[in-house]
Amino acid sequence: MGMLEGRVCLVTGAAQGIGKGIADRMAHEGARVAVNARVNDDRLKAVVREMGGCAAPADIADPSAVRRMVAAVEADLGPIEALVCNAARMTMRPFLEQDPEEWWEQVHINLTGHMDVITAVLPGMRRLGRGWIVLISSLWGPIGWENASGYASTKSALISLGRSLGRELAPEGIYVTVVAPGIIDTPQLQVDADDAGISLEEMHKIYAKGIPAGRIGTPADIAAAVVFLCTGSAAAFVGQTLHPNGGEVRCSM
Amino acid sequence: MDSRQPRRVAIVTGAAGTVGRAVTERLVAEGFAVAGIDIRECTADLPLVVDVTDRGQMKAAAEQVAQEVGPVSVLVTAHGRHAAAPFGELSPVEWQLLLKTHLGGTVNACAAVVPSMVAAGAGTVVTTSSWLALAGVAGEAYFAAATGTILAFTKSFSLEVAPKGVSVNCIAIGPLEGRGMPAKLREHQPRPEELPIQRYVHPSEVADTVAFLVRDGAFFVGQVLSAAGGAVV
Repeated sequence: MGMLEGRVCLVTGAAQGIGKGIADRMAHEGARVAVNARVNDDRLKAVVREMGGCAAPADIADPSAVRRMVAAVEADLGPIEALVCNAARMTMRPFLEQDPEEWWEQVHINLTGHMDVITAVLPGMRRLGRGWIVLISSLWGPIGWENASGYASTKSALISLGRSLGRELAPEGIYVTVVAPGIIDTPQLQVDADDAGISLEEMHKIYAKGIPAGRIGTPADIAAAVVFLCTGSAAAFVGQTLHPNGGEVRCSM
Repeated sequence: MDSRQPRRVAIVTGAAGTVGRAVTERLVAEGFAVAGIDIRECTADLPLVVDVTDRGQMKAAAEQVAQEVGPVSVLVTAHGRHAAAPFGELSPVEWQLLLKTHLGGTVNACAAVVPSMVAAGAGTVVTTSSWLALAGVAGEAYFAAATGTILAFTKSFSLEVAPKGVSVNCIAIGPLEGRGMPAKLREHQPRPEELPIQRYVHPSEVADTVAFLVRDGAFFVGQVLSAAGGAVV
């Protein structure tokens, strides 16, 4: 019997990468997973075909689309017991060279978008009298990163959001926690490799060199931590951030 | 579990204590043969009466476990000692004992067990500390300092052995449910209803966290997992 048998879970930004890994693992643990991506394209359809559950397309930067998406998931699968806020946008640009639009787009998706999803999901969790919410931050949240000031700021804000909501909602049995992944094997690495003008394999090696564990992480590493934080013992970790990053940073945040 | 596979072996220090007992039971349920180490009698597959502050005793115990049960793949240090007094009023002897137990015992256990993990290229070590080390609480300066050393040790030590396949992390345990909690500690910590989760942390939640790190925590290195129920956020 899986750790999440029969539970309804919503994972945002789950058509690829870490989000897909989380949705996969949740489905493997017996959950009925609503898989969110911006649009219901072939990629999202393929993910849902593979793991069951349902497609939950919506641009999480659009509050009304978010409300419709959550209502559709609840009608289809039932009230959402576990929510994983994973959707994110990242733009790498020197601070003074960035377009303010790029800054705001990251804030709208990486922070405000999650606020809207949580707002839409909470009433159902309250009716159930239980719930688990895991926010996906980033290694760059606690430490910051050059040319990623917008992205890192939103990821740091999620750590703070997790602390505040962790305190606020724990008395009602809704447990909010945060996971801040280090460098993970996702399609983003190909982007990084292209930017650096090197092969994907070389990119892997360069990243792995900086990680005490000697390798970059996998979506499965992150998914395991998220599933742990969606079980009974999550209560012990309300407001906390877990840092699966291979030891790259030993965080105090 | 496949009965043809040899059982994996774990060592738990402080195995007679509230946390040590819960961790031992949980690892047994996960299929481990557990050697329990404590200065008192404890229940485990192989219970050993050992003073963790004595490097020689700890080393001999680790050798005995390896010989009688098999190579050790998991070490959990859950031993501890509590003493509290307003600052300046704890006897130097008691202060030394706090340091010897928390820092000395953790270092001794790692020194006794981890070299064989490094040689094998794999292993999981979970140290334990206290939320008091993270939060700071009046009246607990000595205990907070003694348990705080474990956070610093864990972070640096983990970097030395991670490249060899051994992951070392620390669980900072929050205000804990259990009749065994020292009365002074009870006085200094919040009442259960003052915590966000409206209760104290249960030893089984610490044990679950150990089980998670053992099963799924390979990409955690040098981290402090604060199982505090929101007592420190």
